[in-house]
Amino acid sequence: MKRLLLIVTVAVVAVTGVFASGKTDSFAGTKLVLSSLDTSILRKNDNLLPLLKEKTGIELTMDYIPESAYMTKLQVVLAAGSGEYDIMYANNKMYPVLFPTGWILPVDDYLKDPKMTTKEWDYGDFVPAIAANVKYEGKTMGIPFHSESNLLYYNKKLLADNGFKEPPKTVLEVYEYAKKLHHPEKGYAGVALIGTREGNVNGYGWIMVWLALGGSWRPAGKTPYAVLANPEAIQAAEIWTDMLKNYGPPGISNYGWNELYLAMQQEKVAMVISPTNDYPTYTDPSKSKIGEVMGYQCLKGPGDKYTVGNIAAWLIAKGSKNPKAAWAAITFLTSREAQIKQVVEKNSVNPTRNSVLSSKEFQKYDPNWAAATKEAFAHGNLEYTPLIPQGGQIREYLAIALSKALSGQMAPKDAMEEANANVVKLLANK
Amino acid sequence: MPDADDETELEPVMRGTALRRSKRTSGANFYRRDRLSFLLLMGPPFLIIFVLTVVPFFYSLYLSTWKMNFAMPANTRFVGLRNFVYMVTEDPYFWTIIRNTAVQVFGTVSLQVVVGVLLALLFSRAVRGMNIARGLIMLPMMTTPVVVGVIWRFMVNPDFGIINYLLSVVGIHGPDWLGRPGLAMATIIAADVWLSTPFVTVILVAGISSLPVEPFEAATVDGASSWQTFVHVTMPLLSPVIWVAVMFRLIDALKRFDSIVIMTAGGPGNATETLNLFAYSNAFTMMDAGYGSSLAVLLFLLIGLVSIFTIRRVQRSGNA
Repeated sequence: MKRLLLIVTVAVVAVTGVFASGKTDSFAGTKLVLSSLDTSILRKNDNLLPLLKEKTGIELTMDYIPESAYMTKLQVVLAAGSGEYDIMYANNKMYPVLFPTGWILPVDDYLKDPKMTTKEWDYGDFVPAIAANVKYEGKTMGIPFHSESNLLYYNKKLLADNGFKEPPKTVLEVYEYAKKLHHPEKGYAGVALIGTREGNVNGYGWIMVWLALGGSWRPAGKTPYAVLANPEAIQAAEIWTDMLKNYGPPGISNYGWNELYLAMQQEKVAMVISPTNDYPTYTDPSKSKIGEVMGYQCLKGPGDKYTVGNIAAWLIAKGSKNPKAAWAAITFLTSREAQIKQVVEKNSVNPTRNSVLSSKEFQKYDPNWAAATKEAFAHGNLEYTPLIPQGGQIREYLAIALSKALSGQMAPKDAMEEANANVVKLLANK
Repeated sequence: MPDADDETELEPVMRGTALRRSKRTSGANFYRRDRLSFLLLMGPPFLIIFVLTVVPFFYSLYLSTWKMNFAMPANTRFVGLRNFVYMVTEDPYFWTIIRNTAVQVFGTVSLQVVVGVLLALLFSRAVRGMNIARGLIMLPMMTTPVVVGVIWRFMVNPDFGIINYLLSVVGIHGPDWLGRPGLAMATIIAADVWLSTPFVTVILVAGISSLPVEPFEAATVDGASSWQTFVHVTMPLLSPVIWVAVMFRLIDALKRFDSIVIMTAGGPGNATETLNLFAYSNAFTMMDAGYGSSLAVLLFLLIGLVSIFTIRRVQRSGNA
């Protein structure tokens, strides 16, 4: 009798436990850590954290890391399998390094599970080309939350003061305009781009120029990726170097994102080529003098893919101790509700859902910026950066070459040829 | 029978015997009694240091014999000393990096020693207000190198930095300090001198205060001038202490990373990239763990050689 009572008690407890553990929609008290690049736009994701906690119970800690150290930190953490990060930011430049390693958890199972992903969340609402960018060998490796292209931002007043009625439409026109807009005696320079080698970000600005001149990492009939000595690459380097050296602001060789923003906000430069999502930064009335006179132009180039197409996504680390909670957090952060909130509060200007891009809230942004952005996205080149595991190293050789050219250590052509020789050796695995 | 005189004569012998016996007994007792305490106190710190320094070093030495690139894991293979051969014979940047390192280290240390000696001589005088001056001069030493890098990066900014502003007040158009290769290295050196000279000064002030007064009195009596006293008395007496300071500063300068990364990230081009940064860049940006480790091993060997050389100089100076 006692034995029977014991068996029944154990069975009741076990069954209760099963039903209790089946309650997967509540992550109350779950703590997760998310690693992200440290930029002013990405920090705006903090605004979603209180709502995330309210909706899911998840407490998400954001670990912001400067771009120059981000990949290093991420690789060390992921390789160690420490589980320090549950969710990570990654973009095109990082996918070829991260996806083949096995450090990232594919999310197809979660997408197919109705308990983990509701129908209302609707994966099909993401812009197809953007969503496809975060796939690897047919597996969905993450969910895109941010898309980015590049625009010419210009000060309409300074252009008008110098007799220009229209903005430049191509990179070559930007170069010509910069010569006439450069007035250091009046306190402003003609044009600015990122100049610092740190985190190889100077290459990003060069790529914007190079794409607009018809550059490609996989040109037809030529060796892929070993393209730094090709004519359009050298031309881009020469234009980039001359523009910044002779028509850029003082100290351009150390210009990072903050210096670029400051220069434009404080009317120290007439034009910058910068990502589409920098629009709120340049027009922030608390920091910018020129919000009212800001103009936007998508620079045209040959072919169809002449602007940057940078897609950022949230990924789940395989070492995460709470992958289901991480998925719940990602579905919230990329939900229509969250993206609309960010758009309304001007915390995000590059949503990835069709319904948000065509929403009345999104249309309230400056129509000129919105039109230029739409055009830039339409010609976005998702392969703006070398999408191979050696991509980071190729960008590093490029960054050193551009830095040498800008500082006068080498002529742009020689610097690019040296970089290309290193790329050839790298690809041959010497 | 020993008498009183015999006892007096025997006393030192007996005392010595008793003392030796006491030493043997108490020495053995000491080690028996306190061996456990010794192990408990010294063991954990030694173990921690061993695990955190010796083990990673040997692992790094092991990695340096492999071709191991995280971007191309399929090509991982044992290559022996190939990384070191590549370093000196094929790497297009290596000798530039070595030259940069030599310029940065010797430029920094020599200026720190010269300025440090001058400051130490100044602070050794009993002048009113010297305590306050000593306190102020120590402030840079309490600042972390990262913060120093940030401060200097803002100070030398050609657009809104204070240095170019002050130059403009006197009609001089300030240069792009971190944008020109030679100037960038000079600025890095200046920042390090600002940061680390107080350390040299502290060591030398302590050294000066412990110098015997008799040689100086003798020099005065012999009619030596201040300069002659400085050259022929002060500097020779101070040289062991100077070499100690040089040793610490050389090792630190070879390891300098943080302020350089903040100020220039090794640029413009690779004009300020030193061996430490180069090893880091190869290991973590190029993801070439094998080659990065070989560069780190080279840095370790350089630091080891510098340490041996300066320790010998200290010993030689002390014996002279």
